[in-house]
Amino acid sequence: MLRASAIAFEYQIDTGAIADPSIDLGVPGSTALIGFVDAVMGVSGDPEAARRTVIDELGPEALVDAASVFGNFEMMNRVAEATGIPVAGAALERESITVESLGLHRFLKRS
Amino acid sequence: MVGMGQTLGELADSLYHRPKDVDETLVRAAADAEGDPTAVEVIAIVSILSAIDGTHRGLGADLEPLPEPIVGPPTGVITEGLKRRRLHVPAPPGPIPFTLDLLPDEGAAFQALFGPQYMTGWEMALDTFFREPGLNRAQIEVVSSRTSFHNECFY
Repeated sequence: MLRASAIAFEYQIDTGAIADPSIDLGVPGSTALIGFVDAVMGVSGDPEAARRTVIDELGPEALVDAASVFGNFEMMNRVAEATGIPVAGAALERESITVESLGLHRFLKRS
Repeated sequence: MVGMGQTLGELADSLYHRPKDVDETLVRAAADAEGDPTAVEVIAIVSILSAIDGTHRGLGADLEPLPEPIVGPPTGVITEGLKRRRLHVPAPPGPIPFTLDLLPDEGAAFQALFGPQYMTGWEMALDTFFREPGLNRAQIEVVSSRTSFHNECFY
């Protein structure tokens, strides 16, 4: 969905940035948004500073959006893992380059 | 966790704190011990709570206290005739929004969060969806992708 929407907005993206933030993703504000997720999840960075960066770069409404989407995917990820909903083979084939570049095969061990 | 069996407690604890550790063995153990509806109810409550808590954490707000338990029997509203198929719990055929529909009330609560917190079904069909002011679809998917990456959730 990231790739399809980036194409729709005519962004030239490198999806490798989802696994490696040192890479420029190519979506406006993506560094601030990735930093926000990392900080709120306790991976790296100060949450308050990350929120301020999102507000400064994208606006206060963007912070509300980012927090809401983050919360929703905290839920979606858990439902997906606990119910074991399978990933369609066609989707795997279609996204094989992205799966390879992000090293996502290791996430399929339980599917 | 008064009245909650050990395997169900392990499922709830792992799902909230370490979702990447949740697998079929853990879910099936809880379902075998307590029944599929009970396991699905725990999955729903913990997952929805994660959405609420996650949004609060994102905004830097204090977490809401849990409500007091309501005394009384379960509603007993359970969809009949569902099978596990390839999933860990019984569910109707269809995409992820329907996976908790063994319990229609929990399924409806899960689905009700999509629009306000992410996008409605109609909005999801638009790759060019955007909120003004707010994030556009690509920026929304940056947040969803990075969150899923840290949770090690392929789906």
